[in-house]
Amino acid sequence: MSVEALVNGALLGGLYALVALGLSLVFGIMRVVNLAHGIVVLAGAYAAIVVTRVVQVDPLLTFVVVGPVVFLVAALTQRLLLQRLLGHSLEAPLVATFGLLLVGQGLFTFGFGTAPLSLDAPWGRSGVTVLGLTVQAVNVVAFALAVAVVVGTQLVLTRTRFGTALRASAADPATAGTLGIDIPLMHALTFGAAAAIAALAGIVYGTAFSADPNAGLPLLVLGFTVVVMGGVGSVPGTLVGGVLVGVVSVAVGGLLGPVYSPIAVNLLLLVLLLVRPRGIARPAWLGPLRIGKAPA
Amino acid sequence: MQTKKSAFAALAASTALVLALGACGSGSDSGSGGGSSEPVVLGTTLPLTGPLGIFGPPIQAGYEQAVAAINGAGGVDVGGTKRPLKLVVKDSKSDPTVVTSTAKSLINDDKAVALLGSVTPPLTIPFSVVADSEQIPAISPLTPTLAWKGANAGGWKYAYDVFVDETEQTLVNFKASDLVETNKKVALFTDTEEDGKAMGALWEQQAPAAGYTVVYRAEFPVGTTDFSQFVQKAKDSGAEVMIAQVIPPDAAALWKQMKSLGYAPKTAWPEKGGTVGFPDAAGPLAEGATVFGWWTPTNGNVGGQAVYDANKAKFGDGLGTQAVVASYAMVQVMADAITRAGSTDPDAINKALGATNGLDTVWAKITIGPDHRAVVPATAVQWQGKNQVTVWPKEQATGTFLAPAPGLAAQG
Amino acid sequence: MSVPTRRTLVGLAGWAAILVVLVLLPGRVERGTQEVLLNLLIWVGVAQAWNLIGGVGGQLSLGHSVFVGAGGYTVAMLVIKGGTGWAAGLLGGALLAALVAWVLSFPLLRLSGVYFTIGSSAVALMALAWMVTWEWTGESRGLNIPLEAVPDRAVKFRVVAAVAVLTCVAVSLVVRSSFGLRLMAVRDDEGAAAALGVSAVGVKRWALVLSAFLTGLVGGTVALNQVSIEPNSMFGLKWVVTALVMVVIGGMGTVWGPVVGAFVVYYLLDRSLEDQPVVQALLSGVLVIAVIVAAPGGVVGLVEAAAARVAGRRTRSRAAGPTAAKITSPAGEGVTHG
Repeated sequence: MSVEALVNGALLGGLYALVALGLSLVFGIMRVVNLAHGIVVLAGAYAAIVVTRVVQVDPLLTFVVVGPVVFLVAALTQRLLLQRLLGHSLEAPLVATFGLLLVGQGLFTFGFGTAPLSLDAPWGRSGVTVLGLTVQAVNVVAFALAVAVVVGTQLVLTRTRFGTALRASAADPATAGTLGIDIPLMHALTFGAAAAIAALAGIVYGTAFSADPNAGLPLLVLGFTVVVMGGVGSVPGTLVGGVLVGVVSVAVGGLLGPVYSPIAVNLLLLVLLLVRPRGIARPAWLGPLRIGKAPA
Repeated sequence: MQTKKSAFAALAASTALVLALGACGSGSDSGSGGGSSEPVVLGTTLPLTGPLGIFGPPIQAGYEQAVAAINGAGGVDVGGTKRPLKLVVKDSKSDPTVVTSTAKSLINDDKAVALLGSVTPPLTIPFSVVADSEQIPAISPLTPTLAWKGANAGGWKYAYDVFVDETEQTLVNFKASDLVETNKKVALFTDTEEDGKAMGALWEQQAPAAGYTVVYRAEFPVGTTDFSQFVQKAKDSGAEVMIAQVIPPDAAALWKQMKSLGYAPKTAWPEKGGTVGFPDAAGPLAEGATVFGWWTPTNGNVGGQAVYDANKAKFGDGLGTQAVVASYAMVQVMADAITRAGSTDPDAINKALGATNGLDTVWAKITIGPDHRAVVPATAVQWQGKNQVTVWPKEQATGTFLAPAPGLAAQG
Repeated sequence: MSVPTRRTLVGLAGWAAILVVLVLLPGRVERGTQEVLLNLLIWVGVAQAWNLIGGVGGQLSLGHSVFVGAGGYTVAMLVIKGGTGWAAGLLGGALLAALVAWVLSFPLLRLSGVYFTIGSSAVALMALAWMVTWEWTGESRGLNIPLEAVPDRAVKFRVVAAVAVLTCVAVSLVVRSSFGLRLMAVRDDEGAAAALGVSAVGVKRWALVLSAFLTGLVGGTVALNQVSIEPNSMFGLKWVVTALVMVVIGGMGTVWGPVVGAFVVYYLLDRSLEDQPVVQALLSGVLVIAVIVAAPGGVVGLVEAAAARVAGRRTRSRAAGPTAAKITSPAGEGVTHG
């Protein structure tokens, strides 16, 4: 295993972070595990495929259309469906989003068939050489996007009034509510933004790899892994988690063989859950999390 | 008091359940005796959804068209009376346990006298197990025959398999690569599925005799997306023949990474990952990717071209349509066996099926051996645009072999 | 916490009667009906066994496919390589599944809530990845049990029926036992239960082990029915995902919920719509969402609510909000009757 391979893996971790960020946001702010998250990522890829069939543009440009559409659909889903389940228990939103996963999978099979489809872009099939290391251009794009989105999200959360309101509604929804913060609106915006980021991840994923209706669950598991490794609800943590997954996969694959990569990643996930159930980098502003019980 | 009520409710509910089920199951009760003009039921369970969902529709088309053609000619001759065929199709969702339950349902509920199969050992083996345990003849196309045979050490009794033999099939990669000039060094990318393991071993085994050296091999779990460090190693090994046996989404990722990292072998084989729809999955990189095929216009078939041409528009000029042709032939083989059996008794059909010898079909001339296999010769087809052109064997070729594979070759 | 003996006996008699009816079925109904019932009973078993830890215990495990696979593979290995009969194989499979669960419980039960769910899914994925590469168990090829070593149709049906009824009996006994009450107390409020001296981890551990034992038993019958098994079909997440859907639709934490859920999902959705696979996938998703939004207690919860309404004021204090009971928490009336 070479330095080149490790760098490539770390850069690919940027894509993993993009996939995971939305999951982490929804979990951190709404305390909902969105089992349909992988489907949202795929929705981004499929929507971009539809757009590029109509107008031949670079897949990334389609985000101008795909992003707002996915944002709107997700925000409405949250407002009309999930919000009413939030007061209940852990399993209510979990089960509902699982239903969304099934529906999405059915819709994609119906609309696009089961064969993989992919987005084509010059940066999806070329390499770049920096400092004598040849890496895939798509990984560089993914990493740059991930850094931009992670920094942007972190700035919104920590430096804006909106972010303050969001953090308040996550830390103490009851008090935030009495202070006049419209919590359902906060949740809808969070869910929409998380979905839009997932859609962006989907566009990059579809360009780097491909999209097929059965990829929803593996993408969700990937997201989970990254979220847990980076610390649930921590925005910068997703980047750490993504890079960690990328590097561990490459290192184990190179040393022991690729067959052991998924075993190693899952094992690491389990060990991390046990020794640091709150992840590597957990922000103080989230306060103590009691995920077993949702706040009233 | 509450207790009695709940116990009673429990009993009532379970009785209702049993009755409801009974009512649904007991419909037709006709046996399978001959002499009538009732339809002869053939059942099939196909992967219409799930990961293998791309294979279901062409197989279904082949079965339906063959049944329509036979019925159009008056039906199948059973002991002197012409009886129509009736095809019952069920979705197996690409799931082996669903294959088992739907195959049994075809026999028990739909009264199928014979079964038609689908693709890949994971689906065809449980399907064949049902045939053997229920003692109903069953024939499958598109399932590599050695893996299928190896799954039943005692020998199959009611199940049959018509397709290529993996030993011959794995030689095709080398023989076809002989058509172009290479350094005869091979890189293998195989997955951990059954066929990945078995065929990977065969390629390694057969390379020396064919004059090739396997200089690099890597094994991947299904669902691998990052191949880059292994692509780099294959590139460093200098292999000019690249063979992969990974599922379609993994193959698409692999091809994109080969292109990105500048690995451009002379011949490149995505095999099961590039069978159908590869240009949709890998974009322009698919150009020149080569996989094995199983039908050519001039392989000794009778009437195959007409079936092929009728389906080309829908399933593409390539393996999708070759799958239609292969499936069509299964109905021909089964109808022939029913006629020779002179009855729809499953044992009689089974006996006649096993004796199939030199039957002309739209696929090829079919002879079933004592091990219940009929081996069809393998070919090599290459993606050229949206079509797959036969490039080997040379005398049956429908186009020329493009090498180095243009999709992966460096631009300009 | 006294166990109402008479009530338990009556309940057991009911289950015994159901078992007798099922055992007498082979040969008296059409083969097709028998096959449908066999598959339904397998699903009842899987769903009910999951219900024990997932519904009654409130631990949403995504790792149960490990126990289905362990049970199935053990039966196949014992029959093929050990030369034992299938009956010993079934027992061996169930015991191994229970042992695996016991070992896994030490790391997994340090996690709670969503972390448990994620951790258990990681275990399931690791097991699948491992089985695909384990040469001893046939790697991705899997195992083929010789046809002559599997029981015939009638015996197989009776075994599956017995196993399915056993899972139901187990759950109905557990929810009425003091162990079950402790388990539900932990589910509803772990902190309060601990304050009352209940060892949360201990209770959850034994529930997980029992659930795994039963799941392993069902997994063994799956292998006997399937004859040829391979990692993806035995260790795939399909088992636990479908069980979860069935239990949610039927009613979490109730004795009849998994039975009703298995009937709705396997019979009404899967079989009736088998020629409409896409509609089927969409409908099961929509149904799951509809149930969780409109009737979080599932079908059984709806029926209980209706029954409570009919019964009127007399039992009002007990039946208060039975629909929400399963999800929002209080002890889950309707199954416990205190």
